[in-house]
Amino acid sequence: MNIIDFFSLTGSCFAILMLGSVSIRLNLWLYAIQTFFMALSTLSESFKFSNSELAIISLVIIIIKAFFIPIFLNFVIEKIKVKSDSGLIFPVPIGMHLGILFLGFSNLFTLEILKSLPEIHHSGNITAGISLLFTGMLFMLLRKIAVSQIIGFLTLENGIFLLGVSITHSMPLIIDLGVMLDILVAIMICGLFIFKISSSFEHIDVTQLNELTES
Amino acid sequence: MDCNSFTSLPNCLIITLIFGILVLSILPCITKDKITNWVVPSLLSIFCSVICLASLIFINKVWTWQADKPFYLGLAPLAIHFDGLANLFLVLLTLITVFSSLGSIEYLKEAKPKLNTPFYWSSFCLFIASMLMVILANNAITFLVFWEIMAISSSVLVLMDYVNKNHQKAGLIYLCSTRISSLFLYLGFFGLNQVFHSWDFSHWQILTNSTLIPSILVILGFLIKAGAFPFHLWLPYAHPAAIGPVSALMSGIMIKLSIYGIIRLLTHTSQLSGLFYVYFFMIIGVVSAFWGILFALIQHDVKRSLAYSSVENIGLILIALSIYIYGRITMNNYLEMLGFIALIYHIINHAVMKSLLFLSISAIDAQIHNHDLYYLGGLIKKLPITGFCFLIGGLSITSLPPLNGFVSKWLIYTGLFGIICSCNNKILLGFTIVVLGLLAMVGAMAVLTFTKVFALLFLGRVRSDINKNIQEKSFSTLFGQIFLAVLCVALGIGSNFVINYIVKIFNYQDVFEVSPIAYLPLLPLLILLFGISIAFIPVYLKFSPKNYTHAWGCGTDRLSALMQVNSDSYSHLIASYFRPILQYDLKVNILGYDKRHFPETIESETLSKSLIENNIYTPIIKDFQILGSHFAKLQAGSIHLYLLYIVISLVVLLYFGVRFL
Repeated sequence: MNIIDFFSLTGSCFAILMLGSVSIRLNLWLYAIQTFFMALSTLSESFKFSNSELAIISLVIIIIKAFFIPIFLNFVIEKIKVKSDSGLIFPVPIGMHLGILFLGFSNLFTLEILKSLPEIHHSGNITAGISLLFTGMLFMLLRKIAVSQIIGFLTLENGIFLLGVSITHSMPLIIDLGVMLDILVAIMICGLFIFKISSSFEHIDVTQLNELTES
Repeated sequence: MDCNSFTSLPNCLIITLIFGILVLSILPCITKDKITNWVVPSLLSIFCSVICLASLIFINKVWTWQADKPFYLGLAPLAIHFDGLANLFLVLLTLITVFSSLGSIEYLKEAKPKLNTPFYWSSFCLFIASMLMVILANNAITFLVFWEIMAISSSVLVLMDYVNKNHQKAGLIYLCSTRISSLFLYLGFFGLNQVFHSWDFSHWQILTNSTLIPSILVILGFLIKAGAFPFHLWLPYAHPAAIGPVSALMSGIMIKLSIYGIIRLLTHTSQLSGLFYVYFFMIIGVVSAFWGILFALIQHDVKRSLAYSSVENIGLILIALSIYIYGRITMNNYLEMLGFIALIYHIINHAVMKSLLFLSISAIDAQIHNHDLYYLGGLIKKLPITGFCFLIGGLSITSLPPLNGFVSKWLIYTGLFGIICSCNNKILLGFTIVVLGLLAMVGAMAVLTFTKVFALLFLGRVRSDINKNIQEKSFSTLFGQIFLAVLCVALGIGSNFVINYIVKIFNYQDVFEVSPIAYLPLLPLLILLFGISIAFIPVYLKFSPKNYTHAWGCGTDRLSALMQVNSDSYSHLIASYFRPILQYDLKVNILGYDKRHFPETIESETLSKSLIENNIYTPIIKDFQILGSHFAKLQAGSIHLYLLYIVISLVVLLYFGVRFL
């Protein structure tokens, strides 16, 4: 196992830990660490392929996604005074075990993918990407509070980014920066909405927001 | 556009005017209501009269134009084709548009509840422009684009009074039927494109062995829009909901555009094959005619009755079409020509007389907001001109000589007799004889229907006090009726001239010389003379009118308003013959202490249901609703459920992506 795979798989393990914790602040911490490891993996990939654009992107990721967004979300949860988010369908530990199961599945998927892509050697990177994708999805699915949905979405986005980088090795800088900006703005808007929802409904429980049907 | 040569000038003028009508549909959005209500119809009338004149004068001109590269409609260019057939339909359409737009002015002024005038005129202009373009379209894409605009704008016109629950239902049914019609047309046109690798109508051939399925699909699509027998359901809903002038356009022209489409595709086809199509059109035609007139007879809503009568006339047109196809298949030039002339003539006639009837009804409807025969009566004293025009329309739609309806029906009968004389196929022979018999019955029932409608509307005593203040109001509504009534008579008496004209357009000249059609105008005059002489027999025999009163009349020698013959009693006998088809039932309820000798109240109620609607369409719609309610459960409103759908689809996609790519 090389250093790139190590970083990305560590990141995905932290993401799975996130599935097992109830405290929202701890989740934010775990998200920040996970993103940090992902950025490290990207950085080492940039050294390996001597690609300066990837290095810049990884630095931007560290600044925006690993520092700024967790701090902002922390500010939001301090404001609206939510501490914990219990599980929705399953108890929390079972969610974590599901995450581990999905990690195994993603490894199987990766082995299948690698059959058709002989030029790629980092199976761990792709496994981590798919696993992050599933973990984010599961996190969104299994939690009640709207902040958790945001964190899950961000994790999912990390997975997509990691998958993209590991398969294509590089994307145009401007696209990546654009995506980053999109996420930043989206998170700011989500934060605002959460303020608004909690002030008008006095809770941010997503299960209560089920008036979207057309009947 | 290539307007350099002088010869294409009239066509360019027509296209420019159609564009003008399209622009006119924007005008109501920016002007005030009161200005809109006279500016738009007058401009529209002027444009349409110019188009009418131009296409009447240059009726034989063939001219084709295709748009250049940037004006493509997706798959094919915007293509336009002028020929005799298209010009004929242009004349018909623009003529009726002039009268119905003039007729709408009065209606919109008096309408109760108030209709949205700018909205009406916008969609009206759009409707006219799209119909003009449907007539001129030379390839399938152009045709479909304007066909869709036509469908949508006409359903907006049907739904003008959108607050009314019944009108909402009517609009929905009409919109659904146009959707289904379009679906069939899309599939059929796509199939034809797959066979001929072109979207051009001139490259297509339908009703051949190689294009069986697409042809059937296209014809089904057209028949749904035309309102032929199993698909006629939308007509009796849409027409009472739409205002009179719109009904005049829809029934007069729009349903004929489907027949136009079929003829358009048929004229390009070089070789037809199979008697199957003759049977197909003949069965659908005769059943539509019979079914339509049977239901028209028992309706008490005049507009509903006229709508069913449209179904009948579409049936007659389809029978004429089947004669034409038979002539084509058996290479019988005479029958082909006869069928074609009957087809075109009946289309013209029905357009003229049905719009006349609808405009007359709209003149009444505009003032008293009611078209139910239970409440109307004795209107001829107050509306003499409208009454007379309605009489002319009714007489011509019942095909009495010397009016125009007689000519086309006579041609259809001649064509059917021609099939009987010339065919060796025993089955077709027997079949045609049955069709002839049914057609005779349809004619008789048409007479019954329109005597009923005319008598109950205009004769007798006033049935209720809603028509106290009614009077002939404006010339704009009368103008169209008078003109169309005159046209009815002219098309009947000048039939020889009109047939000559049709023959010239479609180059049947050589066959025409030897045909008995040349003596056509003499025939109705003879019959008329005979009829008049019979009518004068009482005068010669000096019958003096005597007044009799009933012996047990208790002193009432005249019927009071409520004792008159009404809609149900007039049609009761025929309706009870056809009880199983009409699902007709008469319930009489006599109440009182000694109800046998001294009844206090007598209630009677007639019930009739549409067999097709109740037994075929309603169960299908119910099944769809049940299916739909199951699908609606998927949309539960829970964000987590939606996330679950996303996870499941993600896993499935990943699996398939990995497995099969």
